[in-house]
Amino acid sequence: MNDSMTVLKNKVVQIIEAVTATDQSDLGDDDEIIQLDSMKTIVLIVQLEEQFGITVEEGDMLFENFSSIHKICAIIHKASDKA
Amino acid sequence: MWRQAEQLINNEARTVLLLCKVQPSEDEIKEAHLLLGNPAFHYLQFFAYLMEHKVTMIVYRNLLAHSLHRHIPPKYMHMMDMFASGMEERNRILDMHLAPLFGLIRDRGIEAVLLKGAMLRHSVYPTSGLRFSNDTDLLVQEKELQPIGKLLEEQGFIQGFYSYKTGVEPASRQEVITKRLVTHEVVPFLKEVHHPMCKVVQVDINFDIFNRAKRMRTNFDTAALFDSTIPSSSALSSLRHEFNILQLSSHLYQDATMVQGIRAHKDMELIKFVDIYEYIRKFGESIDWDWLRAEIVQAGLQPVVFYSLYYMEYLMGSIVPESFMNSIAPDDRAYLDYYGVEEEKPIQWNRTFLERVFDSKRKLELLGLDKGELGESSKYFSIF
Repeated sequence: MNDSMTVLKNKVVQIIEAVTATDQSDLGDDDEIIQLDSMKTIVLIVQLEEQFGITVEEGDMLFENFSSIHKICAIIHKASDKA
Repeated sequence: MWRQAEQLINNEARTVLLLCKVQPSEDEIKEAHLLLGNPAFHYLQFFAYLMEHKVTMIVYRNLLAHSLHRHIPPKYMHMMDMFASGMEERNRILDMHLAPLFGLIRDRGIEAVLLKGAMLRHSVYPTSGLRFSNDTDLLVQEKELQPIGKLLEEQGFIQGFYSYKTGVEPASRQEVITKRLVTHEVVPFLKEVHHPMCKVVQVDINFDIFNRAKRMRTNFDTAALFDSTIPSSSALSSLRHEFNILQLSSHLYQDATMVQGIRAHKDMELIKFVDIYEYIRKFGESIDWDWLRAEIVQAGLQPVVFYSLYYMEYLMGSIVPESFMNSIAPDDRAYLDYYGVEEEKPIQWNRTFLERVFDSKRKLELLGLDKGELGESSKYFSIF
């Protein structure tokens, strides 16, 4: 994993921890983030948009796209490319 | 039929039920004459029901067409006349702004379909002023959300909410995301046009005909709606008749049974029952009921459609083929008296359906509940 990917992942984990108020240090990239209910997912998306300066596309606005670190990073990359 | 329980409602409510369809029967008109001619008739109560149920214009038309207006004191007729004329003007202004917009949507190759009032106003009701429209609903596929949003913004629309005091207020990003994720539509697009009868044009973009709240999601293939659309009187198409029945039923069911609809006073509006009745009255002979039954059964939508058609016939009279109703009737009909269908455990109403229709305080039943009973819907109370 390159440095920028690690930085991105660490920042995503920090945001998830803040939104869920739980320790996520053992969370694997493809593990489902079980503490994320619908309302917390919405708060997570708002936080991701604000902190990464992106706008999630309408077509990507699905709960399942925010259920793991891997999927979240993919959405951030996609939105950053369009920005 | 409501007649079997008519002692539960007052004469004013009965008169509304008799006159809220486009073509009341001779017996219904005769009975309305008797009720309206009663010296104890409570005109203000009657008007309150008409407003609450959005049927003022239809009833006003019937009052004039059948000389029932002679029972009503002039000052009340004047109020109704102003309201009906205002609505006619409002719809004229709306059409004036919407016609070029619909043309632009079509020219840009965006497939958008008219729903609800925007479709009914011109195709079902004899004059466009009869159907009140607060907003204009369009259905698009999810892939078209971005292009149509962009086009609306180019035309001066803002995604947000209308304040009577301050005008259009843009939605927060959280409101936009929440509406997109947990419902079947996005935050409305609004444009102020500053006409006394139509201060703002509101376009609601739907991307499904079923709500996507928890426990409300269905297996219905939304893309199929676009396979066989039919022309309308505008630049945009309409759903085929069977899908319009499905959409109107889904809309009625959702507003009548979800906490969100009840809190917003959108449940039990007579106009939603009238819309389905009048749609079937107008297009009944073209509706392929067997085809519709197959679609409903395949997606497991029997409870949704039965709920809406059952209560529509209860209020308006029989109009759906009996064999169709029997074929979609659930074995257990107890759910007809429940609300909070998005919750883990739906809640039974304390009062009968007919009593609820004419009791604008029905939502007070929600106040007696534990917060836990509204666990799902209460998450969004601050947003919707």
